Amino acid sequence: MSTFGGIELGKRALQTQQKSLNITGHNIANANNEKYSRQRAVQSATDPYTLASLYNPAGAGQVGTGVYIKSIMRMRDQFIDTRIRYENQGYGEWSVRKENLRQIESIYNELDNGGVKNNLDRFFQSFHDLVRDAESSNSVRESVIQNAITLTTQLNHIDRSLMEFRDHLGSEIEYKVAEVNDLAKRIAALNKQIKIIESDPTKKANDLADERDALIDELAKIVDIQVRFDSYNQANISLNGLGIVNGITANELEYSLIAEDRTSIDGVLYENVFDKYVFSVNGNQARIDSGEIYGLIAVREDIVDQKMNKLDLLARTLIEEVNAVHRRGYGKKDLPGPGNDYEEGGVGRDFFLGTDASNIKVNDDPVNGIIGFPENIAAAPRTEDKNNDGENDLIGDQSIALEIAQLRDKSITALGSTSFNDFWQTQVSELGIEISRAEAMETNQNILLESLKEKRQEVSGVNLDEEMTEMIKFQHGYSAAARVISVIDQMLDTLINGMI
Amino acid sequence: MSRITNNMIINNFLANFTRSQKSLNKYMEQLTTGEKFSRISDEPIYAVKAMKLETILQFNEKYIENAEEGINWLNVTDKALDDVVKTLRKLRDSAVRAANGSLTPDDRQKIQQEVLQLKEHLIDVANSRYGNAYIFNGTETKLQPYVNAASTDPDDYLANGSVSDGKLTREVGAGIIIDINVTGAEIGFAQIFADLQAFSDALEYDDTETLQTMMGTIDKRIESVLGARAQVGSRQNRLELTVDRFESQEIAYADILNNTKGVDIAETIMKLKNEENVYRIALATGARIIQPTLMDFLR
Repeated sequence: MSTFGGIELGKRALQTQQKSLNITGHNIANANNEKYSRQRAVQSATDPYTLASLYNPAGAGQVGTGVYIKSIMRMRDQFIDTRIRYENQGYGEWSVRKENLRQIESIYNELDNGGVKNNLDRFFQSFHDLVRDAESSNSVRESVIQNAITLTTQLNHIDRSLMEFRDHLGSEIEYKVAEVNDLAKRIAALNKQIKIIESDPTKKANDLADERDALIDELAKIVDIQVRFDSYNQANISLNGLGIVNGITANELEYSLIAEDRTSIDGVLYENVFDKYVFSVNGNQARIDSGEIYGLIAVREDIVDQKMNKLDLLARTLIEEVNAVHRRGYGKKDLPGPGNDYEEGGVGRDFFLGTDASNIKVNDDPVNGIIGFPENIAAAPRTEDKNNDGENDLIGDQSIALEIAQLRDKSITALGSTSFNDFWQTQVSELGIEISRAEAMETNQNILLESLKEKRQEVSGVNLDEEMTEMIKFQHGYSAAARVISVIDQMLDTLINGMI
Repeated sequence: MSRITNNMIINNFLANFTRSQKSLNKYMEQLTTGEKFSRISDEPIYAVKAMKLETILQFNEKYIENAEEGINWLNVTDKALDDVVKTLRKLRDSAVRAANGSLTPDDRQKIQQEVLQLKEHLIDVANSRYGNAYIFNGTETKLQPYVNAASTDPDDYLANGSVSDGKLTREVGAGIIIDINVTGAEIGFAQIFADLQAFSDALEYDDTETLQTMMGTIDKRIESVLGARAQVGSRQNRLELTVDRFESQEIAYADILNNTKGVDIAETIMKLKNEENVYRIALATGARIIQPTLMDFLR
């Protein structure tokens, strides 16, 4: 070994300890960084120096030349990452479902006094009041009209809110698709950087890989992706077989809206034509089976559509049933006379106008309507005017009003042989059960995800006490190496200055 | 050996802390509102059950109102019929006196006066009203059914050429419909008036033969009014029983409703206290575990 070889060795030792300490510092600095995986310096002895000797000229004992940092490792368990991505999809789907079903629930607002159930009840109750109060003034008739208006306005409002909510879900889906494309682009860019750095086999792009893993986790929450790492450590991501990230290129996920005739949800025929999202990558139709986008689609295209159809069914049946009875009746001033055939079978006046929940209203015809003409509520089954006072003598018989009041309990075939009230309650309870299920699923997924994340923390997380221990270790290493240099320095001093 | 990191401890602490606060919030909400759930999805089955019970209770109230109104209507009818029977009994007494052959024309005139007075009174009774409605004119409640006439033809007493025999109905339970009126035709008011006119005419012309049969005729009329009255009584009973039934049902259903959606305060406070302890312990433990690090012990 040369005279100054020891100093060189000491220098390397100092550098190595210092670098290791830097890595500890990096770990400590990133202790609260969620994405960060802790790093370790792998120390390795430098190539030894072969000392020739008298008796063994070729293979004398080897003299160590010190230490260097062979690589900097990232502590990461790929298996846990894969599972986290998978569970993230489920979590994304169910939490989106829960959030949005809650919104529908608050649109219904059914436990509140203003719910549809209460307004249906009040509507039918006011007809009972009408039966009892046939002869008196128009105040009871006015309250029938007011209760009917409250009911129809509410049905209109729920219908409109559901429609708006459906549009809102649509823009949410579009926003999520944009997010997917943004993430894919960023992952492809990171792939490129990582590939360049890692083409030198001694280098590991640890911090960039952390960044990329975090992006992949985010992406997995939105759509159900599969991830493969190639030999250049590039992440290739596919969506049910269609690549959205291939090495350094990202392929756009595209959407289009197609009108779909969904007129026979649950075997009920409707004129509603709902649109539907279709996705594609590079012109190939893409399937999305899980994640937030799937959750949004499920709420938008299954639940909201179905709820709107059922609401329409309720409104339409209400219109048909009430009108069918009401047409047979006569109002206070519907008298037989020239120019009308009021003798039999009723005036034929509609109580409600409209065809579904969006346009149901109380008959507001300016001439022959109900709104503004309380006397036009046809509560009596017959008409005659014996005393010529211009009023129906038979309004004491309110059997038409009674028939309408009794519609409440009538089992109606169009509603699946249930009453109005039961039909609506079924809708509400189905939604409630759907929400509890989504809530339970979300909680389960969250527990699973949290425990996996804890597993990941177990491997990748920074423990400050551990890092402090390491720090002391490297500090001591550094001091000792410095000591070696100082001893060699003394030796050289002896050699150079003490030999005179 | 598995590692524990600072973030794991902090995350765990935060998770437990949040969970605890959530339950505390839930119990607080339950205690302050007095209800077990504020959204259907909290307890879908119970919430819908509660909604159903509320509807039943509301409609029971309507049915009670309907039945009570029916009872009032029948009470008025009953009073009227009672009046009719009493009047007819007085007339029967007059008929007994009139049948006695040894009456002076003066006596007969007095009896005739009385008969005509009582007949007018009966016409008033037959035009009784409940509120604005004529109770004995079937469904034509707006029209006065009877007018006075000096005729022995029953049809001459009909104010509008006929009386309605329509039934007024009230729903006093899902699908249970009860008639609440007795029509004038059922009682035969017009016939009674015609008979009384015949009585008065017989007195005037001293038609002994008619006077002899008058007692029997009036007895027959009393019988048919009593029959109608019995019917009224039985309907009143039925409606009263209905009201009773709904009122006791109301108590039972209100109780079930309370059990379904009401909060058991004692139990909830116990749970709240329990959760409060867990919360405090979580905070105390967190405070002890999170703070110290190796740094505190290194010089």
